[in-house]
Amino acid sequence: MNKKSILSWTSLVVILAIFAASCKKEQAVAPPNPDNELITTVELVATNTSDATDVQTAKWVKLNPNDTTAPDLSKAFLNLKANAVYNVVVKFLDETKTPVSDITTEILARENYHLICFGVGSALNLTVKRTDHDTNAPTPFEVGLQDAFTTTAASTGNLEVTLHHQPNVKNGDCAPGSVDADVNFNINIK
Amino acid sequence: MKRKFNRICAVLVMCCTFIINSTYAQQEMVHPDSKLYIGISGGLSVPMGNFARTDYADSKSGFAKMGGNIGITGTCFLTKHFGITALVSYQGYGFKSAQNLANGYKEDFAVDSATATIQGSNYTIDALVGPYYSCTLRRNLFLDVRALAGITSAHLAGNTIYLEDQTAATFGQKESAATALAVQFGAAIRYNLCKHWGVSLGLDYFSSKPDFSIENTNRKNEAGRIINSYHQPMQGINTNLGLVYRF
Repeated sequence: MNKKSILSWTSLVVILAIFAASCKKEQAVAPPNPDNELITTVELVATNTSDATDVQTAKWVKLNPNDTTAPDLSKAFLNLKANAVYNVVVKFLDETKTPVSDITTEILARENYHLICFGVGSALNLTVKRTDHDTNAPTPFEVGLQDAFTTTAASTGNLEVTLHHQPNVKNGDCAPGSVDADVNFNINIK
Repeated sequence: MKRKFNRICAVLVMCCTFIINSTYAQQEMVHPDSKLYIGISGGLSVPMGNFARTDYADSKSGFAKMGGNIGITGTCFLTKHFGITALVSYQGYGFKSAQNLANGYKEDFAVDSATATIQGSNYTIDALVGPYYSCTLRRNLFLDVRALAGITSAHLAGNTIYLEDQTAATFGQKESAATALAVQFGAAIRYNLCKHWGVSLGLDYFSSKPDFSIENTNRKNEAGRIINSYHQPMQGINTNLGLVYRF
């Protein structure tokens, strides 16, 4: 290689280096997974704050959320005493797995963008207050996995429980995001 | 600005090539005793350490990938072997593994899909000065060693993350810049082709530790990777091939 060629090649390499250093916009997509976890079961466990032996459990089950079969409502009711306060724990399970997968722990780990909302039927003398909070800063928001149910006079009605998935849109309201679970329980206050 | 800088450098190199070609025939004699050199060099920049890591879960990860560098050097010899050299250079590293960001945010926000779009790139613009040593290996062939220190204007890439579930949400990390001290050590083999022109082949280690303050936009919830500052060494190895003009 003669000296003139060396200079030419050197110039070429320097030019290539400039283009190697130039900017290229990079974009990547993480696509959907077909095997997302299911929520087949929602449980309410209510403990009377003035009587620890008064523990009531309600369970809503639908093992295949994708078919048209009606959910199993045989245990989807809660008997509460009038004029009482209950500490309530809400649990979400995937009972298609063996052993049963507890989705509640995942929701708890992702509490900063999950919210549980309660729709109390108009005839029902029940007040629901969420008692747990997430770690959002500067203002933590309520989560709803732990709640206080306060009853007054005897009544019967529907309680709708919805799990809201609010990725980067959680603001304390039920409206933003999507609904991961929407179930109904019958509440009897005696 | 970077593209403009690249174009200017490309034009400079092409001008040099033209001058070389047009004047080469009259410059066959070798004069190793020149006191002043200028050079333009370019090559690959390979990032190292945390700056080159792509671990989504590690806030030290800089996601820098191999890029290129271009520099203009001026060297003044004070004695036969020793001199002072100054370097103005640009080192572009780009961004590696946007896919890791997309996968990480998708998992952390439990959404159907996530898209990560990188804004800008990782790069530094450096102005360095320091001592220079040169010794003759054989006729027209020299070993040059340099140790440089100075200032760098560093830039960190930003990103926009688009979460898609049944609803959508977008947030991002803005591009950020910081100024810091920098050092560079290296050696090169230089060959004098003729009276004024030579070529060099070198290897340099570059290090700086800018303290970036990072602004995040539209982060409503404390979840997923969130970086408010980045104070890790931006370091790497530069390989470069250069043209040298001796006065």
